Amino acid sequence: MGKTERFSSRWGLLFASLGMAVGAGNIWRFPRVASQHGGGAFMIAWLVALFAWSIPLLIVEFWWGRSTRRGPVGAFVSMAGPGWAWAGGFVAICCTAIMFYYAVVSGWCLYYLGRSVFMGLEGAAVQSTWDAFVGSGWTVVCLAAALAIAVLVVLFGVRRGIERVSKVLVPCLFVLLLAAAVRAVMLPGAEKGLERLFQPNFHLLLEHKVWIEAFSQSAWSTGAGWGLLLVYSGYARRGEEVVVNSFITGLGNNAASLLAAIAIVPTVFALLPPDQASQVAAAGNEGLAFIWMPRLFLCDRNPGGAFLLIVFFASLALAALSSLIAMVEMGVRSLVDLGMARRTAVAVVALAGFTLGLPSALWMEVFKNQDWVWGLGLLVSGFLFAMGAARHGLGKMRREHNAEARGPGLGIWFELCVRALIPVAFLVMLVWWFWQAISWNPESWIDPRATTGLSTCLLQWGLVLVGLGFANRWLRKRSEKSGGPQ
Amino acid sequence: MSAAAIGTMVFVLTVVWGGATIALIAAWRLERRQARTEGQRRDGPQD
Repeated sequence: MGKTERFSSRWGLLFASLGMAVGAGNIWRFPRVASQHGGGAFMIAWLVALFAWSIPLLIVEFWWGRSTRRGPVGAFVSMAGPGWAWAGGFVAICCTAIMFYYAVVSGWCLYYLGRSVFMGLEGAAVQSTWDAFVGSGWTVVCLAAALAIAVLVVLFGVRRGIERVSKVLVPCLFVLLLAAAVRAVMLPGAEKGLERLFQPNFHLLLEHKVWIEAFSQSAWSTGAGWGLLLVYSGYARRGEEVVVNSFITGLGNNAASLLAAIAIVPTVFALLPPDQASQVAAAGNEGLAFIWMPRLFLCDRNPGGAFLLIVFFASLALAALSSLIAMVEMGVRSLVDLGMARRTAVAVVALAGFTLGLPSALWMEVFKNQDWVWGLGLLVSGFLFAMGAARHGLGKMRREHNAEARGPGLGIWFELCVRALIPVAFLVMLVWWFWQAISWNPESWIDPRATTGLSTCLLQWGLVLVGLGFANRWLRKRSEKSGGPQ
Repeated sequence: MSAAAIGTMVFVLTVVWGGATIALIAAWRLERRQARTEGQRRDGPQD
């Protein structure tokens, strides 16, 4: 890929950004969490989180990427100052660590898609199918397949790879989700699921848990603070609009989440008695996607279920792959920023992705541990972007943006969100999730070997942060030396 | 399904899908304006 490569049009960039934002979490997490935490009340809190946390951070990332044309390390150095290279390093490492286990998830989706197309699944045997699959050699094969697809796309470059593939994947994903949603609301009894999803129990808005779950979902789902939009906007055309594109990314992500929820929750409530339907939400992400959904789609009361199951796994696979491509590009961009040739960087990321994804593919406890540690790490990444933007000067950023913007300008709301709301929301979420870790593991939270303990999180973050602290000067020098594509 | 639930559903869908549609129209208009400006710049002064 040449240094001057750019997305060919605004639509290419937008499709890639939507592909980045819409991931497996939109399909297997959002419907579950929304129905578990108050339905309509959760939706309201989730919308507030979109405008207070996600969109302001997407705007910061877009502005930084377009202005600096660098990955996270170079962008933090350019915008926040030379002492902030470590923060860019943390964002890059956090996202790359997620890529290692997210490739495993993408592999699972590919396996189930392939199996539902070519071999079929048996509704009565889905639990044993999952038990036999997870941790088997097949997970390794599927990890390699998912990584190979993503790496190949990235190897073709921005225009011929990422843009071209996103222009196909993202519309297909939306069409599949729409088809699944229309079919779900036509099932007899689907209104019970819609009622559950949108019940206006607004007194729940007084409960802190609803707000924390809504903000966490928004932070994880939209890609805000991951550094991925920063990388993609580094390839934006000159003068590409910031605010409109960031709103489309955030709103488009939530639109996909809503379609997924309307496809899944009414199906569950139409085909199961209410007490059993509640168990589905408690089954966890993998339990919902790979055990309950096949069981429901393949039951006798759901004609055409085998085809709908293929639609479901195809949308899950497309969502996972489009996000995995962005994560691989982030790893590659970060290495290129440190002076590595692009092709070498692709090879290094592919090898590291496979090697470091293996433990998550083979042992579920490692997978859950990494999901816990680096999922929470994303909240830290978002906070670092907010702090970096404040360090750069939010008033200055607004003035610079508004002076050149051809579209809508940035209002004082943006400054208020980044300076006040995001730091407060970050602290509240972090304390709450740490408190959860202690309550889940009252006797072992101090043990760093506990899968979802507090110590394992602090230890892994601490090791990375100490390393980055020592490497700050080296990172800054390497990043300044290599420069970015102009 | 209760009227209140329908109201909440309509509100949430309007904000998300309506907002996304408005943003897409704004993007399309900006793109058209940019294409026109670039076209005029390429053509140069008409007199």
